[in-house]
Amino acid sequence: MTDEIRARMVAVLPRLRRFAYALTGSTELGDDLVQETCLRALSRVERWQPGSRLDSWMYRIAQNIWLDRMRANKVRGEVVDVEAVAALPGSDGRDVTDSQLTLKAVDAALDQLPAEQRAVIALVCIEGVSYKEAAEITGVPMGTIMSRLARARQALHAILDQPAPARTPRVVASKTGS
Amino acid sequence: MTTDTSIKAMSLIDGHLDPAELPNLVQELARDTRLLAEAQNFLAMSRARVAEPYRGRASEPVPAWLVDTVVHAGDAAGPGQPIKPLAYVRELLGRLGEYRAPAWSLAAGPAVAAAIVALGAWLLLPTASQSEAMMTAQLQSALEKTPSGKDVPMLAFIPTLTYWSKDHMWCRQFEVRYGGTRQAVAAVACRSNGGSWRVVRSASPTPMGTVPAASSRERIDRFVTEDIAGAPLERAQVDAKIEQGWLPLE
Repeated sequence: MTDEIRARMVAVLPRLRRFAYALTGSTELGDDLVQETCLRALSRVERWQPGSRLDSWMYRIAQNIWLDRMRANKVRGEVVDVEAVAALPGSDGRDVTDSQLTLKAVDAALDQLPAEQRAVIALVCIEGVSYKEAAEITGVPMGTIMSRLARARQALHAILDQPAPARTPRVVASKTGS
Repeated sequence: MTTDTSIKAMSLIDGHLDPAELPNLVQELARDTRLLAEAQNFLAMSRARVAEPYRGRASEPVPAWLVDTVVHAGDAAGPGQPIKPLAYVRELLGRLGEYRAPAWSLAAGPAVAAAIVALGAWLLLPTASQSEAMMTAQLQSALEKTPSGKDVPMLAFIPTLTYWSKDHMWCRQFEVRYGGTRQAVAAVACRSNGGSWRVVRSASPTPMGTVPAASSRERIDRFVTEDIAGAPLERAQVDAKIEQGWLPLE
């Protein structure tokens, strides 16, 4: 494996960490996801086609690992992440002042979305990839990306910008530590 | 519920709508308050606004152990060697796009809001959305085919500098002047191996003929100075690249 590919992977790390954070809502879980993503990418580097975008390929790997984890957590039962529960929107979590959103509020709102919608928000809104790139990364048609994105945005708007009474915290899936 | 029209409204906000569909959509927004409300929701959840809280996340130092994973995983020599690629991280941090939350007034009436939705996505958003909006088919074509210094009348698109970047891509610094709005945007777009151009840095729109335009251009100039590998192309070289189809340097 060439040093150049490793160097390019390192260059992707800052954005990959942000993407992983948007998916997991936690720095620690996000970094775990990034590490696993890098290890998997390095072990399968021959599958990456030179000339294609390395960052998109790594986003795809990260998303797949995360979706697998989410599905596994569903089967095993959900586990409370103390940090995430504290950040759930409600009287304390709704730190929306004027038009500016806080990281805590958006994290908590994203956590209420279905996994596939959260991933598309992370890719399109936070990472700024195009609909087409998001379709390639997630492996679904562009029309599906657009409808997922539209539903996710409507849901985010309902959570973040609509006046509502404090919600009942929902227990979120998280790392078990095992 | 999402309909084709509401998805078009969202595409408009994200700068992905086919310009030919814009007039019909604006008309529908003006006469359908439910659709307009949906568009306002999309606008409220624009890329720039959702991305803003995450902006700093990509600037945080990457933990050394994570860099180590990439540098040394599968390496028989193991950790302990100098971590040369850190320079790439520093380089990248300087290039991350800048996002600013738009100061929208969503309390505006339907007609005003429709105009805001239409104009905002295409002309006035000083955000990442604007960068996307700029990447219309027209602009793709202009980047691909316009010699340096030439003014493309419809879009007032003027490439000013063409260079090979440290990321191994052809990049073009350019200005876009929007007809009738007296707004100018300076930006840099780079060409992927797949052949599409993507805006990697843009400065906020500035009124034409006023002093602030210079500071915006300075920011773009600074970015180019850091991004360029070697010297910019001469005009004849740009013409040759256009002719040859932007073959990558080896």
